[in-house]
Amino acid sequence: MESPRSTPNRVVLTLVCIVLAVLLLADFASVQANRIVPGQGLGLFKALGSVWASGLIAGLLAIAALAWRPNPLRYRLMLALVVLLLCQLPLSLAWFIHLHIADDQPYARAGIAAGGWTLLFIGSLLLIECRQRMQPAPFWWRAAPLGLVLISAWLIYSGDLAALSLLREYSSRRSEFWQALAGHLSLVGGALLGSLIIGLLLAWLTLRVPRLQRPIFGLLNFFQTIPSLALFGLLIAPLSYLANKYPVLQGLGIHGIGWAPAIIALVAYSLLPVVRNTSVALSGVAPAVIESAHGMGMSSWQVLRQVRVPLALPVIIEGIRITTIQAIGLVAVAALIGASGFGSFIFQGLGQGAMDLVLLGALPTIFLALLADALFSALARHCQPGVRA
Amino acid sequence: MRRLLAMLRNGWVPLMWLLLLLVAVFSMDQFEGFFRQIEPDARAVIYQRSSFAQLLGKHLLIVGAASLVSVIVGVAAGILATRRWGRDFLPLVSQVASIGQTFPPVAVLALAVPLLGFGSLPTIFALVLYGLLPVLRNTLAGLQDVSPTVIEAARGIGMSPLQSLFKVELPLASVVILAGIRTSVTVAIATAAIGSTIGASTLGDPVIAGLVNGNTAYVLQGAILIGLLAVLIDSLFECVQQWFAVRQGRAQ
Amino acid sequence: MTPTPMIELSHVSRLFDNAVAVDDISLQINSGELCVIVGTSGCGKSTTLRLLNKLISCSSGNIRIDGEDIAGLDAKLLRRRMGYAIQNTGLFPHWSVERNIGVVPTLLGWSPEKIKARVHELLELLSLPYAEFAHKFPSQLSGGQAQRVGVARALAGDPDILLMDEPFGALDPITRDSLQNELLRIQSQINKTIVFVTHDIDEALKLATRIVVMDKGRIVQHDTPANLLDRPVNEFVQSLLGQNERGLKRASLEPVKTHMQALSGDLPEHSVNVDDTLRQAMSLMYWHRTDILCVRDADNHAVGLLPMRALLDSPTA
Repeated sequence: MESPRSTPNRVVLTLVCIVLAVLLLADFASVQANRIVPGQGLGLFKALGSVWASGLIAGLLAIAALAWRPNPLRYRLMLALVVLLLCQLPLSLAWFIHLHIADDQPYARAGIAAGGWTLLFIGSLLLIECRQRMQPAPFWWRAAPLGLVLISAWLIYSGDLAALSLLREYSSRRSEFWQALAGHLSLVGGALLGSLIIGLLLAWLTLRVPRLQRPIFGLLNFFQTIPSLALFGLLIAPLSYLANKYPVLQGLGIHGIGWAPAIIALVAYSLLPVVRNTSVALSGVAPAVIESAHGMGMSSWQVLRQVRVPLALPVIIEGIRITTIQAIGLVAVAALIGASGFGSFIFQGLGQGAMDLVLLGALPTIFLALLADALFSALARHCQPGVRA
Repeated sequence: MRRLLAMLRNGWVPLMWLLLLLVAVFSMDQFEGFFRQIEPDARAVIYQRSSFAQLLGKHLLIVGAASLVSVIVGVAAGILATRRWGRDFLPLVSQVASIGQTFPPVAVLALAVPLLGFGSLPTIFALVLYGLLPVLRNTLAGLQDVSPTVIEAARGIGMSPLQSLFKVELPLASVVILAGIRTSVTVAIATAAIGSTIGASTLGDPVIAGLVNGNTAYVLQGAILIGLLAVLIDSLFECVQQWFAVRQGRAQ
Repeated sequence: MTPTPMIELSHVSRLFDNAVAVDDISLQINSGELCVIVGTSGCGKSTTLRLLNKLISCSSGNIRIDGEDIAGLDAKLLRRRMGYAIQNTGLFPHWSVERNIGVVPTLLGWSPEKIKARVHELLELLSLPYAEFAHKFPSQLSGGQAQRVGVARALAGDPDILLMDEPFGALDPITRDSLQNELLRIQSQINKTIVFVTHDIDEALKLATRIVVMDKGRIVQHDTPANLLDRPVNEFVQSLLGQNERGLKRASLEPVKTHMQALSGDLPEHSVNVDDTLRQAMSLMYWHRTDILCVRDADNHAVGLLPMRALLDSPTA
């Protein structure tokens, strides 16, 4: 086998070719005179001016050149360029707005077109690829996602990105947006809390009474099979019946639609990952370890607390991670039955044919999911006893 | 013989769901009295805009088309990334397959609209994009799980790379790949229902129409049909998986 | 007449990442030989074996099989002409024993009846009754049974050459011993050219007609087991043979037959079989505290005497 460093990194080369082709052939960004009229797309050079555009192209070509005969040093340089590439994205948008939208056009809006999205997407792929090829990856690869978020936040705060269609939508719905975030997070949090309480109880039950394993997992699997829209729909009729019959429930805010059916369905969905991972993790601890713990004179409770739980924790957290990500997506669907969250923007936008509004709902949902993924993955790694790569 | 009996017994489960689904599709009117109790004041209590059979057919068509493409592309990509000349792409592809599954399906569905507009096509596109990932991930996992000794033996015996792939590696990975397809199809059925909101005609239609008009009976009808369809398809997969396991001598 | 070499390596080298795995080796293996390549791990013995069926290609030098340079041969067709058995068997877990054994004949395009007959024949040859084993899956076999099936699969295409890479390495000593005996028995019936790789010098001494000792990618010595024990070329070979045990190992290569003397006088109380080795005879003498044994044949007839002094004589041909 030849050493991988002497051969070109075909992955990077392919990715750079794709992004160059899209940048040169498709629109980078677009301008709209107002929300109603169709936007006008602009190519890379028109959108950013020749200096910025050439710089971008040169950077991409430099990455390709480094990938031709890569070695550890060149990978570091490549990674640095990719970080720069990603961090300049929000700046390039601000520059685009500065060039094409005058301050006296309060209704004009800028949109990101195929080129811009592709640059973000392929840039992220390049980041993943470079990171994978450097073992261990230098800690500063995190500058890319962090820089992207921080620079965007700063530009939004300073108003340089105000003309971005997404932000125009946001500014007309400022309070709704934060309400949606609060609603989304509280539903996810509530579902998580509920499924943890019930889930850990059920997991404990499956360990205590193995006979119950089949029916419990059968039921939880069955819930997971039922599509979310169906489960939400099935809950409306019984809940509104109960709410009508017992006014006390209505007083608690329980109706056929709204947060009540949403949270019941969310808990039902969330139980499987929690119970399965907890049960597998707790029963999966090597018998020899348990035996030696007992052999040293630990009580059952001590064994659980000092041996089983610490060893099982990463797997349990993995279950919570899956649950959280799943719940974030499902809350968006629950907007259909009147639960608050980013889903309401998505479905309003779809109803009005306002794509920017759809984005205002979809992008934060994706962002939340990615954030939850990163947080819980880091937590699971942190809890991993012993070996850590 | 005992295996055969076990398979027959498992076969009853999907058959039962199928019967229930057919009853629900073709004789929903029979239950008008029940639905009338839920919505005493509504003008109509049985969804009329389109027949349930038609909706079921369209739903299946969308899910079928999307899943077919997902499976072909996902398995092909998984195979390519594990061959010698595609191995460079393996780390990236497997990372993308796992990160991509973090994206909520409804968000992917919503993002398909700016790209392709409203209708069945963007729904299918979103389903393919999302359904690809579990298939791809499991194909990679299944193929990488095949023991190197077995692959070496296949080579040492004089199998060509294609013979090794089709006679040894894919059959050994099939159970894992099938599990990925099952996940993919389950998500596709659920997401296709939500596709009603972007203009695809599916079993989600009665639910959405019911929610918009405040007609709980419509919602219930749609929900029952979607639920039965999902459970039916899932139980079919269960059977197929059992059959695969038995055929490969893995079942106890 | 010198026998024609079935396998001939001349000046073969193989590099991995600029490190030499096999360093300029030349070797001839004759038809019908059971050649064992022995050495410590990482000495290049497995690499050498895998060069023969082109699982690895040579960096330089050439290999001839039956007079033909393999560089010009299609790797698949070459491999189908050679049996290949490896440690942990490499049996296909999703196929029955019958299908596993029949795979090479299928690749060679044999008719189904012929394949079935061949599988039948091989299972009987390896003492695995067809009715009991043909339809089992590899996961249902014991380690020894699985390895027998692995050998059967290697023999299925009736190859002239059999390559075996530590095939018995993962088995317990008793199973390994019985499979070694089985291999010797089968070899006496089928008379293939076998190249066998192992790190176990006792296995090598027991099985080989000739032994190749490798160290650091080179051939250190290529000789018959007896010559290897009598005249090890350097310290490495000596240490491989085990310094103090060498005498016993040498004794285990010689049968009682070649040292026994004619019958005279009373028969000694204790007996040894005529086909046993001198090592076993010495063991019996020590055990029974005697200096003479009666040699008996398979029918338990006394055929000679073996006094302790006779052990020291050079063997009669």
